[in-house]
Amino acid sequence: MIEFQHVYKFLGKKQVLQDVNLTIPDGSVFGLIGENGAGKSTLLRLLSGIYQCDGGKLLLDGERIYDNRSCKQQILFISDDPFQFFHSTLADMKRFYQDWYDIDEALYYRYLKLFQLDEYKPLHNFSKGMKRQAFILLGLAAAPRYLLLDEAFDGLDPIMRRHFKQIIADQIADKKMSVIISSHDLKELQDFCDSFAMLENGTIHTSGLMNEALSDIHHIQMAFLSEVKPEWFKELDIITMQINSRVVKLYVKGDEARIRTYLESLKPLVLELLPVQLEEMFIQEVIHNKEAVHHEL
Amino acid sequence: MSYEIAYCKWIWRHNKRLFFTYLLTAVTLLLLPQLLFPYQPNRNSFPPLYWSCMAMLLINLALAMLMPLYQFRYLMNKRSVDLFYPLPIKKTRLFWLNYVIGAACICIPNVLFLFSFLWTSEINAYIPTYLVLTAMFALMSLALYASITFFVMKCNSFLDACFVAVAVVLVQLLLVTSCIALLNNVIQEISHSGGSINEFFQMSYIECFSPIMIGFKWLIDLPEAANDYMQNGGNILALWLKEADFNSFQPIVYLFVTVGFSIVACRAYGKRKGEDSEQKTTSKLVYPMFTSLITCLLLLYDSLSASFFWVAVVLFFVMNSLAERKLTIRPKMLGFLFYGAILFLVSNLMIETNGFGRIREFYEPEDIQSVLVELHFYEDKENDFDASYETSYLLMDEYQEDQKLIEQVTALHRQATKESENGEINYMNGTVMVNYVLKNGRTAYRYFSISEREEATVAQLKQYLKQQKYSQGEIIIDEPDGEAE
Repeated sequence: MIEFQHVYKFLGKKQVLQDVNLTIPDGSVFGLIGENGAGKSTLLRLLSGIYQCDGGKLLLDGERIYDNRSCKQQILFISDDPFQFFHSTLADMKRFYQDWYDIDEALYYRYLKLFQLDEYKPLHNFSKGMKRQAFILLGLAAAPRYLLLDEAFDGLDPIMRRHFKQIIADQIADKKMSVIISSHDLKELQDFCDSFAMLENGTIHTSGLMNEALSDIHHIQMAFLSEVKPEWFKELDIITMQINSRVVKLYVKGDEARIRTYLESLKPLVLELLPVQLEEMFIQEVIHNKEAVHHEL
Repeated sequence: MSYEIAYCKWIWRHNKRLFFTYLLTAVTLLLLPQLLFPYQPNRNSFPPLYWSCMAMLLINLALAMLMPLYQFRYLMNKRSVDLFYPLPIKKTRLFWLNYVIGAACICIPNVLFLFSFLWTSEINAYIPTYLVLTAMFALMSLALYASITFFVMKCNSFLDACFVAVAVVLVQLLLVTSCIALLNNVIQEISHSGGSINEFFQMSYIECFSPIMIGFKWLIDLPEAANDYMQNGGNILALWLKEADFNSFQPIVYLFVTVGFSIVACRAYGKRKGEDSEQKTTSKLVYPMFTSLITCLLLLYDSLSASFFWVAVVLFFVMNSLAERKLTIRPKMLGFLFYGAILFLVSNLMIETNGFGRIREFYEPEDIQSVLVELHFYEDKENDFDASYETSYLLMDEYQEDQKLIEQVTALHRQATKESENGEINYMNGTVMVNYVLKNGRTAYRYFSISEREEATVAQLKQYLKQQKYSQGEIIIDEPDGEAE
């Protein structure tokens, strides 16, 4: 289990992570979501031992990760723009990783066949998507306890994404691997992440199980006979509200039954509770926070 | 340990083509001069393996500069840091692995050179010399390698690391040449009183701080020693060690520098942050230190030369622009230009105005309270070949108020200065140092050359000094042996 305890990180003079408290369970797919510059990649680099915390503790099974050989052996980090040696091929990179991690040759060749990559072609001749496939393939063949993928789905076509999701699911089931993945493609993350953390300005805004978080947010559309007044909804934990004369769209947090009971008491003509997608939730949370900041200013 | 072996294996796999190219180049450079030696038209002009030695020195120095850049280039790139830092190995271990591999590559040409002794049977007498030379070249290169590695650890980009590698070598050369220039000036002053540089310290102590300088000096001294050996026989190693002014201080310094810089380089590597790569290099030990050292040493080396001044100013601008990655004029550049210009102008003004007129100021005998004279003259003994030049000194131990002496000294002073102004001194017969105490309480110090024209005056003065027994005594120094009698 990975634990972030009051973690702070500065890059130069800029505070990138601030009082991050997070627990990442084993055997799961953990999604990191957030705007550009929210601190997702920094968090992954802290986890992989590239960066050192400026404050707080980052522990793997109770041991500090930074410069800890036994911890780092259990973690493999694939960055958003992986490094390849001069004129190296996928086979060369496999041999490099093989020296450090326990690469499963059978798996490697199985995935190689599946992704139809030429292991003897220099990597600099690969397209961006192919290069990404190559490195994710290496990460999956190494099957570490924690696989960290930064912007994993960028540049991958839908078929490849589907393949990867399937392989990751298999690996979690077979080898108890955990995948910590950051991406802007929230639709993809929603499909296969068990839990997630939303980062905003270097802090954890929301975290928890994906299903619970999604079931806690409700997209509501209502129509009334008379003009809608914002004060009708003061009782609710509203994320965003959009009033258009007698129609209102709401994103509300809370227990579905309680919210429905309250809204029915307002006697609407139409009341619809729609399922919320991760992307919607992310957008609404970001808009809500920005509006809050705007009001404060 | 398996990871360390795995890393070495990977280094080998990844660099074997480059390594073979390097090996082939080294072998060609080291062995070719040896193979061609028997066909050399004038075989006595240089000792055998001389050009191989030269090639080895150049390979050693080039590798000492390049290996830190090559071995630690991954620190200068964000993407490669993302690959190397998460590897399951302690940071310090990774440092030592890279460091030792780099050091081993530096030592390889030396080993090749030792093996190359087998090729030439003519070098039997030279073997001990070449063994010492090889060991010293290796040690010297390792010292340079260790120091450059430390400064490379302080750099955040490859360009800065390249700058540092060149700057370290340049600073060593400038520092040593400036120190020698300074000491020569000081010693020159001391020597007028009968002192010698060897009484204080050996120049080789200072020279050894620049491995490049000392390396070439050792090589340049080798033909001299070989020539001596061919003419008089003896032990070539002993002859070379004497010729090269070799002392045990040199290997000790290199050993300390190597060990010291290796330790601090490892510590710097351990403290280095993963996020530093590709950032602006902010360490004060990189641009601020090297820019100041190089430019200030250049200015101090020859403050009278306009070309030195402009080179220093341009270098200061270039180095600061490189540090900032911007071609803009900054206040510190203008400050350097200002202070440099002041130094240059004041130095030149001092020369042009004869010390702002001070040294062309003459005093009338009636204004002088007392004088202290020091005579330093050469005597040509035409009939004695072994002691054709003698330098002697006449020293006064205290100020004298004798009016006759004062008149003679002031007359000599005026005459010598006039000749000097007219450019009439073709042959220097000696020098005179005079300290005046004026009646108004001021003191003045003059140092001037005397020519044959003043010989009569000097003889009178000398005679006078001897008769009056003002002098401490006459010290005769025989130039050929350089020993005081």
